[in-house]
Amino acid sequence: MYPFWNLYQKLKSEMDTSLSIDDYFLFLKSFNQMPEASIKDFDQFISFCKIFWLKNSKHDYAFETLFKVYKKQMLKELEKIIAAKLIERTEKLNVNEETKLAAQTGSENDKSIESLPDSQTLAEREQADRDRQLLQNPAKDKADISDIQLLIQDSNNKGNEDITNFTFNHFFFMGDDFIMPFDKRYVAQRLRRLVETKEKVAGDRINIPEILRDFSRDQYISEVHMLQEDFSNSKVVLLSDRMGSMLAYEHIEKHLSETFGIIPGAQLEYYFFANLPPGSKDNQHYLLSSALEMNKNINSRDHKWDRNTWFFILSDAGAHSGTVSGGRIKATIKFWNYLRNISFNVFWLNPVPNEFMNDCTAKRLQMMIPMYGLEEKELKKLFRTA
Amino acid sequence: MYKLLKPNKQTIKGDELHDYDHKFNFELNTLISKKNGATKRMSSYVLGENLVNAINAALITGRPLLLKGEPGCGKTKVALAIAKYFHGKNAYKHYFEWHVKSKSKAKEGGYTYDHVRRLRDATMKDEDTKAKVQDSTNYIEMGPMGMAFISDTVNESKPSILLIDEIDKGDIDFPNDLLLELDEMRFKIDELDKYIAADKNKKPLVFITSNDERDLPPAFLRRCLYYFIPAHQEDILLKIANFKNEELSEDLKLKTTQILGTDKLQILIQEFIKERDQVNHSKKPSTSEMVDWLKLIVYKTKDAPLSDEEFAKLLAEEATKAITLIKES
Repeated sequence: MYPFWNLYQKLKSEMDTSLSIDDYFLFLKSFNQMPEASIKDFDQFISFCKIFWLKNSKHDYAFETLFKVYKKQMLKELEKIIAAKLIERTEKLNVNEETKLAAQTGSENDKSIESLPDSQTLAEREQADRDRQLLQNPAKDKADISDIQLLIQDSNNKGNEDITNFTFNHFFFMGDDFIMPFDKRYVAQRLRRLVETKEKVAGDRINIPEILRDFSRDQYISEVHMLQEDFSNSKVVLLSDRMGSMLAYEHIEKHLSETFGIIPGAQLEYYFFANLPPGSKDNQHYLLSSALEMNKNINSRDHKWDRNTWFFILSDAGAHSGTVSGGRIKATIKFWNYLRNISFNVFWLNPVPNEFMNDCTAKRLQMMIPMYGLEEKELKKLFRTA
Repeated sequence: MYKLLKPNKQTIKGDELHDYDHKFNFELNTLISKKNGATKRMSSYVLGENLVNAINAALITGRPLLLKGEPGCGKTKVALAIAKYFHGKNAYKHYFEWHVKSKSKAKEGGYTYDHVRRLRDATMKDEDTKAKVQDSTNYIEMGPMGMAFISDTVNESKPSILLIDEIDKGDIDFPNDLLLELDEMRFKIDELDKYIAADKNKKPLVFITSNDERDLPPAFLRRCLYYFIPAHQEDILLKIANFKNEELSEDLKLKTTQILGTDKLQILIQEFIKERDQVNHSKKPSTSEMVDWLKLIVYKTKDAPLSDEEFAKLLAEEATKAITLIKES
């Protein structure tokens, strides 16, 4: 009864895109009113659907994959609809037009059905497309290699204490936004109001309407009024654990830093640190390695953090180790308390989902330090708490 | 219902277009457009089939069309080409462009109010100026969006065209501030307490371009149709190269023997595609870079016709490629 409804529903449920019912009806309206022969083959049909239902190029790959999975079903539906349209049009023409014209239109429409490729041709074409894409765009291939390279480098660097050296020596190709657990813009907008400290200040623009009002009342300008502007200022500090298993989250860390970076008016300070137990590596504990500045010790007072500063710590807190380290727990609490003494706005983001944690350092720490995951559901919890 | 584009590859031929000055008359509530005697050059534009479908969908639904694609793929030029398609040499009478800057405010697209001029006028002693000050409409300047809403296209089958260029350059809230304007095609002039709205049956065709430097809010995306202009295939590139070659040859007043033939252009396009598909470029050369390369090649070949070997050698010249296509050391 409603053509393409199933397809629309599948897209909505499987692609997690925010499509409204309007998007469905707009598609239907356009599909019915498009000039004849606008959609000649399945590829053009996909492209046509994208106009209405793809809102972001990041979802392009997922969109195409879904279409390929349900291709047969869609082709059937498409053929049925085109055939129905053809019958409807031919009937109308039979009534209104001369027989010659009706026959001509019929044959044109027949052609448009013929031009829909059958499943065998499509399968062949698909394979050829895949081969061609691989030849033309080996980036996807490279992404796989890059993942393997990461593992090799990780084992090669075992025991290497220089964390900054390691992290700057490799690249990721898997940082595509659409695989990230949260949307940058959504999080930045939600945090925007929470982190900002707002004050009214005299801006650098003259308030002409106000002066004009003075003038029309007194016939002279008594005072130069300046426009009052909202001055929004917020300090956000991202402390990112860059040791051991946390290296695998580098792309998430980048995504997070970019998210904080687009909060309007926010000054982002971005540091790496090693969340290590005291002992031989104690001197590295609390040592922040900034992407821009020289290393500095967190205990030194050269930073300008205050109670309005918002701290976000990205660390698995030993969740990957699968063991409980008393020393690490103590050190982490010391670290946490140090920051909490500066500001109440300290949030621990743990990329390891709770259900994957056995009894480990992180699990024990969660009893004392609230930790949030990086999925939108978890972040919403953080926004509520904040 | 607007006239739709034919559903196949379209070439909109370049031309010298009349330039227009626009002024809104508040009393008559109409936009008065007058030729100012100048002309502006428009280059030929080749539309792919899928882009034609997207434009037709925008015409049918009345929704703005959000265009994305690599820089230089021709996002911005689509709008003027479509204006030319509908209005011919008078395209600029019905075509309005709004180039978004980092400090742009959504309101500026509708109108701007010149408070400073009003203040200056208020200090003047002559009676005419004093009378002028009393009327706020004397200080209102319509923005491109405002003009597109009220542009009188006379013929209801042809829309006025509005281009909102590089929307991602604006402030994070900029797209959200345009929701009402794009949804209902109306905005309010606060100083006059008056709404300016597009006729329901004559909504402008709105093109919005983005370089994807910033994510756009879902509420904004919901109000748009979307099309990603892909890297062109050989046939379209060859068409573009042919048109550009003609234009360049005309500009340089080349003789027929000096003009590059289609066979040479085909070799150039194949070389370009080879270069474009190399994976090690940090920015893939786009169509506009191909045109720059072609310009340089045409200029170098203008003095004497080249043999096939000489032409191949010229194409392989690394320095020329580096300047126009690759742009990296």
